Formats: sequence, structure tokens, C-alpha cells
Amino acid sequence: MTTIIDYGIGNIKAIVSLLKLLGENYCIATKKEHILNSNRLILPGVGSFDNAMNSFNRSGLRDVIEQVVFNKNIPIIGICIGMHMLTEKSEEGKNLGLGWIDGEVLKLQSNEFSIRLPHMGYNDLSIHTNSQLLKGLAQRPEFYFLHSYYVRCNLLENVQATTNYGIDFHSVISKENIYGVQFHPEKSHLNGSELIKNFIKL
Amino acid sequence: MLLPRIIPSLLISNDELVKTINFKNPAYIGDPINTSKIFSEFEADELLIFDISASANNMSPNLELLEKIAKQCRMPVCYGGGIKSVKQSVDIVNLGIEKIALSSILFEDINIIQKLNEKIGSQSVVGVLDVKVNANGNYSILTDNGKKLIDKDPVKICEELQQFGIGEIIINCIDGDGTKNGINLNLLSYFSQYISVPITIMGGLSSIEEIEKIVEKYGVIGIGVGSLFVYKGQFNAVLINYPSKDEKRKIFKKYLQL
Repeated sequence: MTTIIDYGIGNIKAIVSLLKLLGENYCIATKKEHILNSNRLILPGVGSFDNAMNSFNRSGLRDVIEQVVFNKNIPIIGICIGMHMLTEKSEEGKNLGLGWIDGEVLKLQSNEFSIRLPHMGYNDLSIHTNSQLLKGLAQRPEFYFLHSYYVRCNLLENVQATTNYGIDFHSVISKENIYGVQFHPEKSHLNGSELIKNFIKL
Repeated sequence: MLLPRIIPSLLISNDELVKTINFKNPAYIGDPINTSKIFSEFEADELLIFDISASANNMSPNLELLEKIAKQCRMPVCYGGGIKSVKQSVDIVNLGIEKIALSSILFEDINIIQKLNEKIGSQSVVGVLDVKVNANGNYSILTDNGKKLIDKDPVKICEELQQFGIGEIIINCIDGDGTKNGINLNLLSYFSQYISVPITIMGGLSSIEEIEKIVEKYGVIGIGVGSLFVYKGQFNAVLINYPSKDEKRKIFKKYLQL
């Protein structure tokens, strides 16, 4: 059972459609019991960092999620803002992040006409670690990105892949059972479903 | 390396898929849900959906239809047509649609951009400028399917949209719409010098090869495509089509070697 955390924010439907397509049992978690019964968690997110953190903290699910992630070691993947939330803090807002992965969120530097913000469209990954999550993908797989802020991990061991847009930023991160991706696997055609398939097998 | 986006653009009128010429004479094409599914199977980069009857008749977007379309799409979808409020926009994003395209509301209440940025993020807030080339070569912005003239300098409009935090600007050339006469590059060059957020140009693409030239000159850009991807041949037989991965590689070859 894959559980999508519904904390009142995020494009949950797109993830649901993909899980259905993959024939995976899913649950949309709004209560503690949903989290406790889950084998793995997906943390989506849209909007601003503060808005997402506020909603997450108010959802009443944070404690139970931390319990299953740290005590039961169930896999969790943060997507886009959901990935940002895994770090300590963001330049985009004042709220603290979850601090599960040592790092922070910074703004991409625009260069008026060559590096336009937001970073929007298909871009490729340079894979650093041959992990279970990225297994079976091409050497430089393309995914759909839609963001202006990026994660910088403090420890290179947490970086699975980078992507170039003006700079090389960390596009896939992990720490033990905690994963984050900057792009949208639910909107990246076959590469996206491959990655989610891999996540389901974790 | 970030790739340019080749984006099928679908028009909906009374829940049917149609195609216009210069924003007029909508011709029936088929079923929007099935067509979206086909474009998803072709692995289109994104999908643009504009409900031209919603904006014309002051109707709210058909959420049921949009949900069905979104379900078919393994790529990002941008929806425009009849959006007047933050709540409508959030409801649409919650259906599994990534971007909200705004047009007439931008000239009634530009603050909606900031409010939307807070809720859904600026990357999901798109401004659509329907542009007409005047007899003297100047440009005008129109809304309401090209029926209402906005009495304001287009450059000023672009600046304001960006100040308020718009995430992307779609330049839709009314004169090119449905003609397959080629993208108006003068118009694109003119607007691109005032826009530093991502740009999508649409209206009049003549061929796949033309994309290559546009990308060579403008680099990363979105190209919205209507007629060329729904019609085939000189008699405009309806045939949904989209460049294959190999064709796209070929189109982007020079760009990728930069």
C-alpha cells in the first residue's frame, strides 16, 4: 500500500492517476490510521514553502509520519516542494523545514534571457549513485521540472543525481529511507512511471 | 540541458474539441478526452487546453471534463478559459492540472497573480496575451476571444505581469491562428526582449522544421501548436499527430550541441 499524504495541499490527483495506472494499491492519508497502515509514503507539494509547511504542521499528521519514517523506517519520497520540506530551511520563506536531510533550499539565479525562471520543461539527470530508485533508467533520463528554488545538500553522500540549469543542483536526494526529487515523476511520461515503480518496490 | 517545449494546444467549445482560424469559425475536431489521451501516448511535452466557450459566455470552467482530461495526461496540463477567481484556480489545480492560464482577469484584477502565487506557486500561474498585428505594424492585446481591445501598451502589460510575479507568458498571435502560415518572428522578437520568464509562442506554425529554426534563434522556448497537430494534408483531414522522440532529437540537434 502506497500512501499519499493529503495535508490540504498538492497535486494529489496526478499521483493517484499514475498509481492506478501502475495497478498499485493506494490510500490518500488524512488521518493517523492511514499513515500507520502504510508501507510507503509520498509527500507532494505545490505553492510556496511557508504555505506548504504551515499546512503540513497544522495537519496533525507530522508526529505519526515521523514515527513511521524513523521507527519503522518506511520509505518516503518528497516531490518538488515536498522535497524542499525535507531540508532545514528555505530562502523562499521563514518557516523551518522538517530537517530530515541536512541541507537548505536556495533560489536559482536567473540570467535574464538565457536562464529564465522558473526552470520549466524537460531536463536531464546526471546520476551519481546507482540507487534502487533510479534503477533501469537511461544514462541521462529526462524529467519534467517546474520550479525556481532548489535543494543544496550539505553532505554529498545524500546526492543521487544532479541537473544543470545555470548551476548543477541536486535533483534527486536521499538519506536512508528518505528520498526527494525536484522534478515531477507523475508528469514525466515513462521515466516518471519507472521511477515511481522503483519507489513502490523499495 | 533544458529542452524547448513542443506543446499541443487544444480548444474546447461546449465540451467539444474544435479548431479556429484567426479565432473564428470553430470547426469540430473530435473528443477532447480521447485526443488528450492520444497526445499523452505520443509523449507530448505539455498540453494546453483553452475553453473558448467558457470565456465567451462567462461560464465557469467545466471541472468534470477537466478532471477526465487530466486523468489521461502523464504530462503537465495548462488550462485557460473563464477563470475569474483564486478558488476556481485552486479547484482546477486539485484536479491534477499543473498550470492555470489567465487572460481577461489580468486586466480586471492583476492582484490575482500574487494571491495565486501564494496558493499554487508562481510556476503554475500563466498569463496569455492574445496579440493582433495592427495595420501600422504595432501590436495590440485583446481578450475575450479577440473581441475586446485592451487599451494599454503591450510592453507595459508585460512589465506589470512580471512585476506581479507571473510564471510564464504565452504569446498567442491571432493573425497566425489556424493559418499554418508560419510563426511571426518579428512579433516573437519584439515581445521576447521584454519578457524574462519562460515564453510560449503560438499561432501559425507551418511545419516541424520551422520549430528547428525558432529554437536555433531563441533557444529554450515553448511552442504551442494547434492546426499542425490536429490536421494533416492540404484538405485539413483530422489526424492527431506529434513528432516522435527521434524527430524531436533531430529538431533539437543544433541546440543540444551548443
